[in-house]
Amino acid sequence: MSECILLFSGGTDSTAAAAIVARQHSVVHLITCWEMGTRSSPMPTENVRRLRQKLGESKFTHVSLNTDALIRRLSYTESWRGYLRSLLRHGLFNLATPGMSSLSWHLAAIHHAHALRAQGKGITHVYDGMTRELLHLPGHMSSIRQLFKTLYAHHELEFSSPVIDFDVPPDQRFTDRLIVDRHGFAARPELTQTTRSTGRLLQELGIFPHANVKGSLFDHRMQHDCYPFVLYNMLCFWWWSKLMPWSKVEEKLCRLFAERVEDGRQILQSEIASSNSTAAPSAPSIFAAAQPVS
Amino acid sequence: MIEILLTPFRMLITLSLGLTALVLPYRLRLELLQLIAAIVHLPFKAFGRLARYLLSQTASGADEANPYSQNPKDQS
Repeated sequence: MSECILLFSGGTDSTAAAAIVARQHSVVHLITCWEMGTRSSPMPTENVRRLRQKLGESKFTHVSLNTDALIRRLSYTESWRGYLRSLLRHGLFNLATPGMSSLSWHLAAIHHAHALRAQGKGITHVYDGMTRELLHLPGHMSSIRQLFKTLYAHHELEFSSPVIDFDVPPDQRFTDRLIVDRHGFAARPELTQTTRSTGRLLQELGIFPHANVKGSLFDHRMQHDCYPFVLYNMLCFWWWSKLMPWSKVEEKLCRLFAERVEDGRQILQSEIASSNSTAAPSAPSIFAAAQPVS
Repeated sequence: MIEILLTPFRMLITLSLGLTALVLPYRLRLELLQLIAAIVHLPFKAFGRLARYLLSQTASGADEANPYSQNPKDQS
């Protein structure tokens, strides 16, 4: 059995993805990326402990990767001239910050896969815990994920999400935060009755005691903070969608990310070339060293 | 009616914040995003605190075992 990498935020979806791929691979290397925007959030160790308890101690490794320098580079390009060009070409779409974060995680995953391969590990797949939720985020759009897939394929890696077809639980209403059971879990029956949600799977596997932990105290503890995407949301719902059809927004984002993915491909190429070379590197690596978490 | 009035206001706010963020360097841009997020989440956080307070005032289900009791942090 080959080994794999899983982009792990510690939330319900990526934990379910880890439980699924653990059956298909001998070792699952969990990587949690962090950046300046999520620096104060705790590392998601709770669900790794639960996964190991159920599926075996040696099944999972867990490292954190700092992607801050990568995000900075992807957001502002290599030089101020490049950024100016990007501003003229893409305007406010340059503020698609959640997509820059996503791309940085994928670049970090590919870089980590090369590092593991250098240690003799047969990494063949990279997974994430994407469901069909928050589809307005660039990293969740199928056209942009296709760009990521091509990038992975270039490095002989297969990229997919094992939970992509799982049901998405219904949105919680404001009052659902108040109507909870004693342990803080959603009490409205509709929130837990979906047939095949990632939370339901984890409950069935005995990893979670409830099918919907959203908004509970436990949820706050288990998950790494999300990247800040409030301004991106405002742009999506209060600006772009008022000026053009959503398909046009997607098209423009896809054009921006095609350029950034190409930029990322070149970053990886030069990084791999310098790690294979015997000469001392001329500049510090943009990829931070992996830090073991748990 | 409210929506018609709100739309230009929202667009103006978004455009001014967006243009500001575009010209800010990385760290300052991030601080701006975090400031906006903090303001937006304020009512939700206040509501969450109120919910926790109200819950702590009720004794309903007090005899049930906490399913997270294996972790001392989850005893609350």
